[in-house]
Amino acid sequence: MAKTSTKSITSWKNFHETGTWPAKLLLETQLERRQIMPDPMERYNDAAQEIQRLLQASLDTGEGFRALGSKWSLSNIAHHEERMHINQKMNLKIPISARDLHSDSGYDRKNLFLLQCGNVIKEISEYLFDLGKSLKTTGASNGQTIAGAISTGVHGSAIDVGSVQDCVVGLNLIVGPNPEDIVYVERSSKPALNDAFAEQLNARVIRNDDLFYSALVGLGSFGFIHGVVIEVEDCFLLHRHVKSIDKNLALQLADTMDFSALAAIIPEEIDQIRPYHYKIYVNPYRDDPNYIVEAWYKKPFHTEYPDPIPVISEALYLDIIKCFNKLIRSHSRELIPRMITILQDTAFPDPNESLIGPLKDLCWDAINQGRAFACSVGIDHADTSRALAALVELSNREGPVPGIFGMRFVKASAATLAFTKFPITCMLEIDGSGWDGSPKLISPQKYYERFIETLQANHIPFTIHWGKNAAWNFKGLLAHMYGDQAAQKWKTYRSALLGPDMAKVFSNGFLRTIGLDDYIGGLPPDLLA
Amino acid sequence: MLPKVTPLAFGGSLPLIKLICTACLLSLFTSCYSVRIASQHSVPEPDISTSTSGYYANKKFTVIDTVIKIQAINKDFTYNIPCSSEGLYSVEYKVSFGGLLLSALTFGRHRKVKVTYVCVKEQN
Repeated sequence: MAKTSTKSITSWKNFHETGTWPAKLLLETQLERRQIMPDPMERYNDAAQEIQRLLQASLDTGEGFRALGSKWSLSNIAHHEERMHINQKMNLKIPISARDLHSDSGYDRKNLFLLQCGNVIKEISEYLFDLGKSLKTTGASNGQTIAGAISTGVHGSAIDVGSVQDCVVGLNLIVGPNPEDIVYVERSSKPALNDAFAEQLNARVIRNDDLFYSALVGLGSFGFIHGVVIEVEDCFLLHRHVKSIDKNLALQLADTMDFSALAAIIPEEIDQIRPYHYKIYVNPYRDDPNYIVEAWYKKPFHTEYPDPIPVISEALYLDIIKCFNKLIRSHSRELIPRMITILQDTAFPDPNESLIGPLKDLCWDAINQGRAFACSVGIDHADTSRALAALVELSNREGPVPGIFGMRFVKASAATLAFTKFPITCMLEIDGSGWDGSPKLISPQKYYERFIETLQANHIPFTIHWGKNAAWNFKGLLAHMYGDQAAQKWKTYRSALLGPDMAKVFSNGFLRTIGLDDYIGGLPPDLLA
Repeated sequence: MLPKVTPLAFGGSLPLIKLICTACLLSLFTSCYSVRIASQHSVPEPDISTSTSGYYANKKFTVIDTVIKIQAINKDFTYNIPCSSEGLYSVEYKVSFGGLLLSALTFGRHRKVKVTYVCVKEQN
């Protein structure tokens, strides 16, 4: 049997040390040993029973329950003041066989895998690499669990691919302690696997687009994500070019997504000028004529490439700034811009750097460097220049804050509460070292509020990354970002799936703060049909 | 009769004392370092129940801090650790001034060992 250990705690903090919150109990589930239970599906189902036992215990004690992932989120989305569950050792990886495919499935079964919740992106990538496969996209680094990544909308800068959740074709959720509470959810419009597959998971099948898209970015609140069926692709390489280009051109590329002007700058990519990935770096405290940009181009896979990790691991970017935490906390308005400018050449990637490697090696490990902050908004790519100008102006006028801006671009997600909701979303982020406010220096909370107010004042529609710092208690924030309809739909399907008791178990402070914890009763019984 | 030590005389020797102290401190610092070897394609065994900062955040690490005895005829020493068949993710070896001193004073028979290691996460 899978086993769960418990640890009483009084407080909890996340990986990036953005806060400390009161907490009561950490639970950690470990799979039965392979030697005792060699069949992966048997171990998977055995773990499901253990999770159901834990959910029953939560119900019995009237306490909430929340899966943690890798605690990478900078917001308190993963936190629960009562029971938090660690599932990183629940890391089964099960290939999908031909007999599992739905008769209407258009998927190649060789590209489908059932991944248990606790697999981190790095181990998935390495596992797939050995099979000649790759994830379609990841975040900039690789430490998130797959369940945590999709729940919070982790993204890279894959312009024509999307975010991690957009590669999911099925969700195996555990929504309570009873046998009928294990469900397998996929789209009715695009089924992937058949009922016989779901039976192997002891799950009832729900094929419903609205439920699927609501649960896809479920903020950890749509039940326990036990596993996801994900679509991958054959291994590919990415050629990363770093250039220092005229800032107006860098922003024009972002505003238009017309990359034809890059042909003169990266002539070797003239045959395929739209990159897989585009990123702009900006020091808000220096009026540079040029910006550093990265453009990554997708290439067929081969094995004759120099190992990119020695270069990637030396890419200091913001880590070096985080090393100066203590200096930054000296609360000097003058010191922060000076320090960022001094460190800029070291912190940004080296212009004219060119390297090639698989996605997994370019989006490699991130090491904890102490207290961090990251404030990330999603805007329509056409608003990139306007939004950057407004937020740089804010950071200079009311700051400074110890961070650097970065912009990445991601295809829209169909998930109901995906922050990548614009046709191509520019994820505009400032990140750097965590700081404290003082009479001389704007406080983080005030800066986050002003971030929102600045975008509103400039009439720039936006969303906020669920896993990043923000003034989440800003009045009317949810409706402003998504409109009433999307939030209502999300709450409706959550209520229909979970019922009142489990909806309470899977709620937390973050959900209450943003106003997504309401249970909606009296729903039509066939809503999930 | 002993010569009277005046503050001026003491002050005159201060730069030399400072110099010696600085040299000692510098040698202490330079003789204290660590080297870490890590597997770039492996995944560390996780431990997210603790709040460790820095390189070992979210990793389950073990510190071996002991003194080993090496016989004159032996040139190496094997310390077995209980990682699974997945192997080691990282090993960090620390050299300290105290360790060097111990080795020198015992003519190499006693060696201070301070190693921090992380196993590879078991794959399923």
